[in-house]
Amino acid sequence: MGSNSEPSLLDLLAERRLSHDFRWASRTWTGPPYFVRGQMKKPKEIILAVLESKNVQKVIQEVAKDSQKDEEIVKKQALDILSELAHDFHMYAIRWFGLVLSKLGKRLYNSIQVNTEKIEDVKKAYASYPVLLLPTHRSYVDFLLVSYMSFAFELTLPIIAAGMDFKGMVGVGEILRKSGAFYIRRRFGGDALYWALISEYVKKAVMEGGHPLEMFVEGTRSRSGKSLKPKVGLLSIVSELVTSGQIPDVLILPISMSYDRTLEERLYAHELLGKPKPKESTNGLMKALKWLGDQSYGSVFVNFGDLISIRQMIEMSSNPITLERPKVFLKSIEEIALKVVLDQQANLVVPLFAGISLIILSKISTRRIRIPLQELIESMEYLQRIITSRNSTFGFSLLGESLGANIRYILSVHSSLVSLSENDDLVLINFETGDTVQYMVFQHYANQILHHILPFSIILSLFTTHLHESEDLDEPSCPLLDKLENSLEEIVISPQIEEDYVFLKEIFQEDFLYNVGTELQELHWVVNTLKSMKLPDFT
Amino acid sequence: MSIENGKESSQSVDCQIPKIRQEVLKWNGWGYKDSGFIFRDGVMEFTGSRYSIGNLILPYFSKWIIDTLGCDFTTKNESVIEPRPEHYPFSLVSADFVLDIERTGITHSVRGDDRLFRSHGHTLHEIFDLRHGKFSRIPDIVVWPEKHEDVLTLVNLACKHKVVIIPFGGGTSVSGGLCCPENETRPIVSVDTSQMKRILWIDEANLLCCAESGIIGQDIEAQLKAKGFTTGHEPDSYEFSSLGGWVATRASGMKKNTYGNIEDLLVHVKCVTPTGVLEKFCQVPRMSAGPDIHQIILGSEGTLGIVTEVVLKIRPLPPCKKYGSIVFPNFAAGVSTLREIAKHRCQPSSIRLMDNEQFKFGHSLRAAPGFLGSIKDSAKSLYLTKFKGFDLNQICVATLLFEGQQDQVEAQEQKIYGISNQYGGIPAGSTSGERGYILTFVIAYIRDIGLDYNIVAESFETSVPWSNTYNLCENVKLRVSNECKDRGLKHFFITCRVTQSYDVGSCVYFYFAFNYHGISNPVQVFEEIETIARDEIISNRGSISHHHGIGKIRRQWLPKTISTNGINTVLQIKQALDPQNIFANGNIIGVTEQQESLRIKSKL
Repeated sequence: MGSNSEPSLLDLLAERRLSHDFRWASRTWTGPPYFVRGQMKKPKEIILAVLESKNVQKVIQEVAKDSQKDEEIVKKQALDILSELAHDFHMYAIRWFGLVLSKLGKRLYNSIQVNTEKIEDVKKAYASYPVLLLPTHRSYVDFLLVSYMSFAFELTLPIIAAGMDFKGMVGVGEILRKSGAFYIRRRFGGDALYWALISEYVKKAVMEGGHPLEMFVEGTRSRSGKSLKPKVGLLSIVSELVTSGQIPDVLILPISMSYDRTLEERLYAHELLGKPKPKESTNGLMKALKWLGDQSYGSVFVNFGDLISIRQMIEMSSNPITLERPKVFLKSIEEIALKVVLDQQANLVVPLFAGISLIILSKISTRRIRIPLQELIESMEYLQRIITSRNSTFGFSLLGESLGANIRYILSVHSSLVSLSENDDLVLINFETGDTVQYMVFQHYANQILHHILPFSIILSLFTTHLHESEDLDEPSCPLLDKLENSLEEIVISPQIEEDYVFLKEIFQEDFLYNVGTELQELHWVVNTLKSMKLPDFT
Repeated sequence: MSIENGKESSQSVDCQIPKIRQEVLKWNGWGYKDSGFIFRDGVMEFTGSRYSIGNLILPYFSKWIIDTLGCDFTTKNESVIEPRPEHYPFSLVSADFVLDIERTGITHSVRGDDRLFRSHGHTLHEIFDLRHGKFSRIPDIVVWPEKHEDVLTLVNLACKHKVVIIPFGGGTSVSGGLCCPENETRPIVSVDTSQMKRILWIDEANLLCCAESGIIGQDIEAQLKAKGFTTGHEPDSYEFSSLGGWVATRASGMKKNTYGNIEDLLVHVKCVTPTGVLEKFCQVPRMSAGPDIHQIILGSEGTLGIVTEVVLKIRPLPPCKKYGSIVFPNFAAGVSTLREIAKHRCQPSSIRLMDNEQFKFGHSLRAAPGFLGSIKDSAKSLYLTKFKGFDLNQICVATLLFEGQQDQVEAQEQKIYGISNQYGGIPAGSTSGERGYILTFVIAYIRDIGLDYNIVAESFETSVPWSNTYNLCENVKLRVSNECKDRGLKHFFITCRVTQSYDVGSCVYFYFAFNYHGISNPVQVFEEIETIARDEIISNRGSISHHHGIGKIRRQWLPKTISTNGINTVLQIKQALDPQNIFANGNIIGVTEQQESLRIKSKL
């Protein structure tokens, strides 16, 4: 298959460029053994079993009684909801997507790089317990990519919890349904019947459907590029299977997917600036595809996280979890969800343009719109060292090439935002003061590296504040950098700074996920990283 | 034979197992010396003529073992030979004590083989150790009382000489109950009840019989049968296990639906404890007289005293006995049917539901068929798969045993087949049903042949509410399979059957085996996984045990099962009946806890 320098990295498209797509999409396909309880149920059988389940029957009776409707009417209503909801998985739809996405993917992307290190673990997990696939959500492409990868690696295809938006799209809604999508309303907390149906449906599908369940724990695509605070609705339904003893364990596979260039970069900028999200339509999709086809989008990077055992997470939780204590139960599901998103974030390959945007934004803030290429590359090297010390990496679309070469390539991918001067030594930023859309697009990328930079930013600003406060007025001339080198450790690793650090992280917790309990570790990490590298001159 | 007070008293004794057990029983495995599986000329066969599969060639079974457990029949793992007399541990018993015993006229032995035989039950750990010539602590002397009064004398002597007594009945324990506590420094006396084997009287007016506690199942049944009666108590071990053992471990019989478990059958029991005899002075159907002291003796596992005489209910032999079987499309359908049958309280004498794995396994235990036989077999499976749409990897089978009046049996059959029909069950004839029950007694022999070829195996059981029965079965099997895979075990077998139906739940029985090729500590790995399985059982609302008891290997789960207050109550009873801890086998709660509790008490 693909050839590259990292042995565990595999480019899905490389192989597609070598052989015939149709033959590939129609090949004999055997998934590995996947967990199923008892006899595997077909989609239609799942719907029937949901309707016949005691839980749903009970709620139907209650709703009928409360609303003084005939039970049959409520039952009909339930069947309608289920038909609207349910997936109708067919392998032919997957094959069709396999073909279309291969064609499209090769036009849009340079490569789809998948870290295959964990594939064997995933196969083993599939044979052991039900598995939840929880990918990051930065683009509609995420949705398709997980299934595409599964098809390529011969992993059992997932069923996917999708938002209602797609359902309305003529043709597309149905073919997605046939590819395993099922549709859930965004809000359904108050509707007893809907809740009963969705929870029974998800449980039956997980236990007896024979497919892993994919869902987006962030709830929606992250427009900002940052990891979002997780939603726990579906996760709590699945966790109930474990806490109620229906299954010894359910395993979670966090998946991190990042893009050199996000398809929806401009839509997101507009949405964040308050322009309403355009309604999804097939017509719109066709137009978009036509336009997209002329663009280059660099590469996609996929990393699988370590499998998380829901049982172990619940056992580790200090409170005994039972369904009789719903608040405690919910709290521990929130903990699991947060761990998943933190894992996803930690495993994300950082797109090069995230670092470039961070640097560009700092220049824009000083009203500079030209940067010598060499300077950009040096700053990127510095950022690279920071993220490497966090066990993260930049994504290199041109595998085996230098950082510089990759930066040049990515600049060309983002030609609507940046360009190179004629003699190639200056990076020109397409930005005019007040161009908020352009600014938002840069921010969308810069945000994708911020979680690595954040501890630095907070700690260094605490450090300088501390210095100013304790500044001996008699010698104000001592430069900051000297101070850093002289007294960094003793000042930073102090209870005062740690307290302030916690305080600030709490303030920012709606913007940046707060991983409680890692504060001291982060302080040490910042100190060690600063000590190990020569600071660049940012002035 | 004399008649007194309308009771017929009987002295005639016909016993299948001799006093020197090792003359007919294996010293290092299950059952009769002349019976067992052997691998000969490329196929498996069962030796001896005691069982119906005796002297039969079993080609499918050899194949099943190879396919499922990856068995390599080329390398045999022979057991060590029986130890020579000088290899046994030295007996700690004092000359004074032996002299006192001799004065009573009670027979005794300090021979190594007699003592070794009574140092163990039949857990995997015990048998594995025996086969590898490992034994740490064995009883120092064996004594054979012949009547209640002998036991009184022995317990008094034990108190006088400060020695430990471990009662021994049929020796079929699977809970570590017979193991001698390793750190016990006092001499250990094994009291073998096997010579207390008489039926003392039969009371036809009230349908009772009184027997001494050492009588074994098959003897009491044979003797009652000659008079037209049965106790109906038939645990799978009943060829070897004893009446006293049943009481002391709360045994359960296969036909409990008709006859009841041991606690239902028991009308009176005498138990000799160090502080005196624990008994009631009446034999009434029930009474309201405070907490029932019988319940203290039932399940006491030899920690309080020795059961000497038991009065049991008996029933006239049933005129009609019929087997049956039902095939279900899947295990869930089978469990639903059993639940529904229990709801109607129309259980036949026995109804057992085997899962798919056990069905296949049981199916492999048959002789090579003749031409017609194979046609019949393939026609059957063709009917099920093609005509009824059953998946041979999903189907499971319930076996049935009906006992009673002809018309009762017929009505019951009709009702049960009717219920099972609602869940897609199809009656599958009496032959497979009967086979299922006959195999019950030979299954215990399989472990020995397994150990010959690198396979370790054990069974464990539980009781569980109906609402959790199906999930418990599936979850335990799933958990065990995954734990095996995590440990790199390539060939393993885990299967279950629902063996009893009650109003509120069921009894589930698991078999677990794996091929330990390449693993240095198979027993430890086995116990690790078994512990995880028990944890899984308990988190699925199952119990610590249905009828195997606690012994030593399940003590850790008892506080979670009966509460700390419950534990303290049991300890206080122990303190009241056996203050010197003469009955120190350490079952149920264990010596350390007992001592800890006593230490706290003495401080107060």
